[in-house]
Amino acid sequence: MAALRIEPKDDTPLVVFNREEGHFEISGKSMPEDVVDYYTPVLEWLKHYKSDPLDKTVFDFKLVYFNTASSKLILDILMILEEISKKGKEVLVRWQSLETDEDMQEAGEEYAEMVDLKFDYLWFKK
Amino acid sequence: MDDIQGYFSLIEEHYSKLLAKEIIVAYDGDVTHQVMKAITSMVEEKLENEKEKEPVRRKLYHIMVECLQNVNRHAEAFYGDGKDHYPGRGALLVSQSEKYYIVFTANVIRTSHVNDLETFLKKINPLSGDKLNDLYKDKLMEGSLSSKGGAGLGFIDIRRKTSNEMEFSFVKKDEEISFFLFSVKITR
Repeated sequence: MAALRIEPKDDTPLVVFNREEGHFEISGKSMPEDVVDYYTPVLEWLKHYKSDPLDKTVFDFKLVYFNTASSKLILDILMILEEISKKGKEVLVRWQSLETDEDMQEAGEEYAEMVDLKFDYLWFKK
Repeated sequence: MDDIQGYFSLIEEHYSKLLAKEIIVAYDGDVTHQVMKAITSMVEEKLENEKEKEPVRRKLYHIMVECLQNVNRHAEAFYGDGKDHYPGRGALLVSQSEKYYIVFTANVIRTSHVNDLETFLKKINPLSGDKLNDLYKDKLMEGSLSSKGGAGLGFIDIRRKTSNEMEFSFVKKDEEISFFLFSVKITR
């Protein structure tokens, strides 16, 4: 399936979904003017991917900021990943936070309580 | 409260009751997405230059965005006395004292919405820690964002980003519209 790449802007994250390379990443800042509009192609791609996922999907969240409006859409993404995992495929969420951003790590831990997925927590530098 | 001057004196009156402070930004007008981005990055840059601690900066940024988005989504129109308040219009003040940053917003809401909003804010204000986190998760899991995309998450998130209770008041203009005044302190 064709890869999806959305270049980052000052209020929207970089999205890279590439099945061939096994690269799944959302990184940067998420506070789009219209969250539903922004995330629709992202969710559509993942729903499509769900029908034929890799045996192991490693999904990187590397966000420095997301607003509450984006938080629901992030949960929607995780729920699709959860469905993939329920199909018997391995899914690992790598939740990466900027060093010293404990709130971001806690946000990841909260998501981990809401979905049945394996989370790894990592730190990255600026 | 018949004109814009009245609107400002209301803000001033409320503002003067807050602690001695220095105003970082004062804005009144259309709170668009672009305005929100401009104001928040301006404040962020100023605090970075002043070497404010990163976690404090992050909290303030977070809270400013949510406050401004509340105004952007929920400020109602009000047309009276030739002075129009269009939807999405509001005022913002960000100030600093030795101990705190204070974010203050004011906007018009429907009088019929005052009760629900007040009840909600009073409900979440005394909560802390795990209870707020649980409520946040519940709201998130409930799913559907309101038609305006809020779902009350914004206020819950503002509350849990700071150890200080939010302050708010409602000033009824008439049966149609009221002013909603809101402020939150972020400990430095």
